[in-house]
Amino acid sequence: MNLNNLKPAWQRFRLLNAMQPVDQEEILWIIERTEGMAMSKHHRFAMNAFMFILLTICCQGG
Amino acid sequence: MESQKRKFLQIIEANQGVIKSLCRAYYMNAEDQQDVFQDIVLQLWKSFKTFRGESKISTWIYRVSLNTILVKVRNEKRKIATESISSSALTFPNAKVDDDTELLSIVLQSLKDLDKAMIILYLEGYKNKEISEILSLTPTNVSTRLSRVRAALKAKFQNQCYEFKQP
Repeated sequence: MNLNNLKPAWQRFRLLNAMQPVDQEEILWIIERTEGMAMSKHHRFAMNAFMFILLTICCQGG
Repeated sequence: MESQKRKFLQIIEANQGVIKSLCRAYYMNAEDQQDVFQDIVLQLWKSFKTFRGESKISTWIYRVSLNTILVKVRNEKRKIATESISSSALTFPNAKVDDDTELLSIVLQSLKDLDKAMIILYLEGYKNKEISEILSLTPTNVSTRLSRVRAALKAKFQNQCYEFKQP
């Protein structure tokens, strides 16, 4: 079997898969979801740091 | 940021055929294909921010997509059953192979994950050196593996191809 004979088939397969239009909303959802997740991670970290500092200050010299 | 997103959307739109073909080459189930498509888009977006255009966009798409798929497949326990050509006899579906696309699909399904990635890149027209860069292998490794896969495919498919190619 000559692999080169399958090259046109791969091109056809690729073209077939390119025919369905991309759902832009879906792509935006995927990339914005990660941004949201990164933001909430930072937010959580900031909140935890703040609580830690607050507790450290409040519980000193008891 | 918005212009970056617009540009990214255009790139995905222009190359969706490649991404979806790769998803289909590795996953049979529509749900799995959708999952891996999302993973690829996510990795492309992360890497897009640092993409300096040193390679062609299509090469970058192949590199990120194939590496995402290979990592995902490696980590998954419920992997699509792909039998190694060397370890088992290839089973053909009851229906006769009636066109090159179906033959391509059967060939791809019969390959190991990394070999499949190599063959896809070969079919896409990449040279051994480029394939080795995309898959982080040495050129010698690529060359050896390709010869081995070619030989195995030749042995397995010779009769079927002959039958198929007859008018």
